Amino acid sequence: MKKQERIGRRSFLKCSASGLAAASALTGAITGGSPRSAKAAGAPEAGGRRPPSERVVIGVIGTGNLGRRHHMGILLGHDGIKERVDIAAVCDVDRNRASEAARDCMTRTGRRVAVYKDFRKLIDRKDIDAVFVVTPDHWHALIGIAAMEAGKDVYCEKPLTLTIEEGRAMVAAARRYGTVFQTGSQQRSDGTFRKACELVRNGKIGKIKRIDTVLHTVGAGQWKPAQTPPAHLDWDFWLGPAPYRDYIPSHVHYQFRWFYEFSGGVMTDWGAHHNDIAQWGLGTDHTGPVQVDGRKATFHENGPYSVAGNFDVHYKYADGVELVCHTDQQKYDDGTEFGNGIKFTGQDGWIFVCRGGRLESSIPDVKNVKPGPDDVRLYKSDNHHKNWLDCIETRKRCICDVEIGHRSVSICHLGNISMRLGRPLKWDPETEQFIGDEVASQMLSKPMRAPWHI
Amino acid sequence: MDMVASIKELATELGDNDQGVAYKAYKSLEAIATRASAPDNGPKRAKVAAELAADLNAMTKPEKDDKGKDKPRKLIHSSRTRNKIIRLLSYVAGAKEVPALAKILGDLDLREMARFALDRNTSDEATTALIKALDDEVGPCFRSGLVNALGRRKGVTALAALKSAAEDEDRQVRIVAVEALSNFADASSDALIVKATKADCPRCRARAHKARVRLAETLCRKGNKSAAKRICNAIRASDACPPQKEAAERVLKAMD
Repeated sequence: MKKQERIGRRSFLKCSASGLAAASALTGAITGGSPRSAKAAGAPEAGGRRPPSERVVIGVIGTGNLGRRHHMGILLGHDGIKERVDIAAVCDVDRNRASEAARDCMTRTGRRVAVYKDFRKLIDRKDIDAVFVVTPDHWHALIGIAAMEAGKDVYCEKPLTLTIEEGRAMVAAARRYGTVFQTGSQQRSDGTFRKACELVRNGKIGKIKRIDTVLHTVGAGQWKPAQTPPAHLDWDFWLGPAPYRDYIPSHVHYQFRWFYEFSGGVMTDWGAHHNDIAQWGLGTDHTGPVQVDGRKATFHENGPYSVAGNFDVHYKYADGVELVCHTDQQKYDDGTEFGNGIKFTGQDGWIFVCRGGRLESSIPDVKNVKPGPDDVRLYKSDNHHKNWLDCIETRKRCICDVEIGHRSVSICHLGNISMRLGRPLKWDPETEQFIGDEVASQMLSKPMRAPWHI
Repeated sequence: MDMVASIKELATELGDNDQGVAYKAYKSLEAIATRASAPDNGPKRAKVAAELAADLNAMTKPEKDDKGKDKPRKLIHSSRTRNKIIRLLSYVAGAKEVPALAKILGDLDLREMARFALDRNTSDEATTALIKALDDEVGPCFRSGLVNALGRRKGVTALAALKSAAEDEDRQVRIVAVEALSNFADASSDALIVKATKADCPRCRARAHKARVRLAETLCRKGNKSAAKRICNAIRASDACPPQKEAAERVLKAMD
């Protein structure tokens, strides 16, 4: 899809609201008899595939397991999505991974795609409308912002950022450039999570007192010697803004999650999902807690993983609601016991929700409870990728817009900072600053290795 | 064992060949440093910072050789150990530790980590050290890192250094300085940014246009709407690419 057409469509929608005459004029300008607009108004091509002018041209940056198998798998194979997109380029600092992704495209579509090591070259391409950012976390903000500044729409994997400062910069860039931005917290596009949050929002378990988000624990890892990086991996580029360290294979692909230089451990890995649902249920998408206490945390000393292995981090919102983010199965005072998932506890009952459609509650037959006519209904999306593509067409905000992703991962970052400093902290969610703690405030950002900066 | 002795012993263990021993020592020192960094812990923080700074550049004791001449003194700790000490100093260092950190801005193995520590040090002394290194040190990549660090600070001293860097002889330093200037609500920086939009390098020109939009937004946020409007209108009339022109439109609309 051409950028001009996206702008045209956006302008059209705005004008439609303001007056028929203006809308008619713009419609003429957009559809003015050109072959492309004739296609746009017409039927899909054979096989339900949209004409080229209607397809979103995509670049995938980061083609590891998640980028290549998950996202590209959906883009290339999912009915209702594959007809709407063209993958034009893939990019990875690991040449083998980029090549494998390009081969997948060739096999599935019969078309060649461009292969890049440097994301900037992919972003420079004017024909690319939108990008997936599926790199390790320490790259998300830099690449996401560069893409937005080039006028691309963005689907960025969670956890959105490495620091709170990066998140604020991403939100600012998205607003400055009018970006359609989807954060990859796809539990928002799952009907079970939506139902749980609607029940909570509509007071079905009374006033909310506490939310428990339960994640898994992380081990210590194993000591391994440093090695010379393989020829197919540009190690310096992989490190990018992170402090230099020697290459150890078991610290890189996927395992980067367990090092604070690159990620935030299970707190940001799964916390970005479950704390996101806590925020959704509470209706606090544009704010956050006012206190965090991460003193109950254990860091391993017998292995290289630097992130917290076990923890119970306590947060408090301004209205007194408590959020507790744990690792490990939890036994509760009401006799229930749950593992990975989210438990909302209200004055009149509780609701537990997790993946796989599991929804349990003190409310009898909770799965069949129907919403009342006056009940709050939340943003509905049944497919995270489709929601993003829909929003690229309508220029509306996605179900997990950048601000939502930023606020959800901010909870995780706050927890990590409190755990690392070993003290409770006060937080002002309006100014996004700690109150009265200079060192904690410094940890809202991280210096980047030159030449990288946001 | 008192805290100082404990820090000394652990600092030695940081250099142990056994990764596990070195890591445990680091975690123990990190716990000492983070606990000492609490707001109500001033004296302890100063003590920990002073000890770490002393360990950072600690030298062997003076010794005589067989002929009675002074033996050359050596650093006690390896670069790897000193790198870890700098990380620990990031939690606790204040103005007094700046000289110890500034001293190693000339060490090719350690200067990036020292710059990180100074970046996190909010004292005026740290700002001065970063500016001095920008003048004294070599290498466009390192110097652009110094510029980035200055761009995250506030105040006229950093601003003046950035304006000077925006006219540096090195292209990479110039464009990073232009980007950093956009963080400061100083309308007079626009002239330097405009100059950068006419650079020979297409990527630099594009970056300068983006910086200009950011400057307008910063000015708008800080209340200088007239300057922000003037810059936005100039961007719309310039040869900037469509996303920058659209962004300028959005900044203008946000002001209405």
